[in-house]
Amino acid sequence: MKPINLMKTNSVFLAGALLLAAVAGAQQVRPKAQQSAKPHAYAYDLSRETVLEGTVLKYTENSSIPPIGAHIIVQTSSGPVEVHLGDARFLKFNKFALTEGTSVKITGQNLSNGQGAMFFARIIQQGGQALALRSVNGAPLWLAGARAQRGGVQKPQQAGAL
Amino acid sequence: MKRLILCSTLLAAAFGGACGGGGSTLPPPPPPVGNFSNASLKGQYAFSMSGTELCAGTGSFFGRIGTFTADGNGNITGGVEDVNVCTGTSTLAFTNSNYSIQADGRGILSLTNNTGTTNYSIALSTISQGSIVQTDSTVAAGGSFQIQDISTFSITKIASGYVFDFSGEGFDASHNLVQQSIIGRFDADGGGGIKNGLFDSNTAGVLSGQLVFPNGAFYQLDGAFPQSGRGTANIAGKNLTFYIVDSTRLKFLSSNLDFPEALVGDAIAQQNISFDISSLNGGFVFLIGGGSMAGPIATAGRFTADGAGNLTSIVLDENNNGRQTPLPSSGGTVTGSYTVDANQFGGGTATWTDSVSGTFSFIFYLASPTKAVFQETDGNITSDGSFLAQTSGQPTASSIAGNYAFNWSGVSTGEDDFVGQMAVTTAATTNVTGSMDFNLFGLGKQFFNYPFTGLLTLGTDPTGRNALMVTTTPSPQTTYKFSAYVVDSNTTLLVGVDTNRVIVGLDTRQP
Repeated sequence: MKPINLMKTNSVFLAGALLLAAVAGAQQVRPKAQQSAKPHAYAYDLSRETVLEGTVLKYTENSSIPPIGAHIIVQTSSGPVEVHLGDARFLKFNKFALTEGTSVKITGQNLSNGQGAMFFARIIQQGGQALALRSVNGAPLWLAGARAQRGGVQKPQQAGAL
Repeated sequence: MKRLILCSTLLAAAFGGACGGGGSTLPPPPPPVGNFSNASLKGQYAFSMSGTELCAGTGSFFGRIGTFTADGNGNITGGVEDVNVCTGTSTLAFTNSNYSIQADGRGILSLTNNTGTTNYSIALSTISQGSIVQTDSTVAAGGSFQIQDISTFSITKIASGYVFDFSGEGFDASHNLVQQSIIGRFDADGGGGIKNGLFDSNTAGVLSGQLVFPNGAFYQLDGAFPQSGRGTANIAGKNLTFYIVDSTRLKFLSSNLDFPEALVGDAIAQQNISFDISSLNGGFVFLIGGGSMAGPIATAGRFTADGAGNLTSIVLDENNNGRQTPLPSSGGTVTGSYTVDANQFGGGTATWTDSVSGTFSFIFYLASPTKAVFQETDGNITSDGSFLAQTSGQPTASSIAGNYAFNWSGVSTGEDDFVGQMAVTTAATTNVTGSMDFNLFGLGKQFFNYPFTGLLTLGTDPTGRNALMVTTTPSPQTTYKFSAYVVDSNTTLLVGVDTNRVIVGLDTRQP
């Protein structure tokens, strides 16, 4: 039989945790998974951020080279660097237009997963305009779209029937 | 470009089974073959879907759950839905709506409320359930629907253990709205109370570890729409609206109390047993989808659990925003292990390492020894879905031949949602034919009755990776390449392996 109350779980730890939950917020039962020494995927590390400065050689709204999305090639003092910016519509939504020949400053990280490297932009600056593309943990900020304005979007801006 | 959020809503169909816009319409194809008709859609159905809406000129995550009643003659006679869009949440009743079903089980559905009419393409796998895709130019979304058992529209009938998988957008520690997945389990006591609630959240790769539910968990039915099976709940600290499918399944959507956070997902009844390490024994197929720091990600594969903590025969395909990682990697070997929580509530962990590509880590909550909700816990990845036991032995060309309803959902330059029907034969070449409707999210990007042909090729070990290639036959032709993992003779899970899109799919056998 499945345990239907804590007395049947034989888990003192869980029982204690649940008792604590009665007087506080969520309590941890199983610890967080530890990141492996050799993760298979990209992992953003704020402490390893670098800054790229240069001029835009090429802007591609939908690159045919993975990762899918907008890419720019930046001519830096040490050569051209390809940068992943995410969703081009997020740039347009924020009225951030990239044109070839303009100077840009990009904060981000060069990451590799064994199949090639790519510079992932977290913040891009052009002229007096700066746009955060990812969180400090590397999470894409374009995914929530206008919802990220936390209800600030006015009703008429939602298109069509609900 | 959104995250792949469909897995929880798409896989709901597999879990339960085992457990217009201004677009293009082709010249009429040959009449579909099959035994479905308008009479096949009759009764009260609950639906759920998630996707992308156009809001303030950009794509924005949204969710929709509800119920509609079909009369078997092409009319929708009632229903209500909850929507969670960029401007807030609404509860809307349907009026004067309609549908039509073709012989192959495909059909269209229009639902009208006081804000206008929304349009859908559907594909019935049986008269009890099917897949659904919204086909408006301003909304692309995919999900599933199941017939409701109205005799269970009572709080006393919701009295079981449940596992759940909610995914969508939630706040991180810096109050950024980012991708979020929450999986867990709870006991509903039949009186609105919830106990033994446990969950794990993954917020853009930041893991909570297993937590007990905060204070305030409850569920209750809603008095305003007593015939709908609608209710409200607090699960894992989240405020939600739900619709009852039956006593074994509930469909959830974040309520206005949590706006602008938005989560969509299902809770599935948990078998009444004490789970331990031996509960996981045999071959399993999994499909998960979500987001990484690069963008959308999807992974499908299979593994064998030995009932003693060891995982073997691990095969998978990961598509991380166009970048492919197959396991075993070239020249690599894969070893794995799993744990099941000592508290016997069905939670656990799974980990495997490819000697070349690195380590993959997951958590799960078992609904039974044959199915579970599944979440990846690797850095910067928020991806969830399910795993299902392979119960039919070695797939063969004969065992998988037949008719299937399917639903694919993915991301290329925007959200792409497909729904259709295919016939699989034992022919050596071109053994797949069918038709589908799809929405590529944008004005003029809705396509209906598109025929296609394809080839399903069984692998050396058909319990592992198989290949499905589908090409639309009208010009310009588009080819979609998948790795196909066969759960059983009724269900196949798909992950796209193209570099220009990330896509997942579910094929469900029709009678």
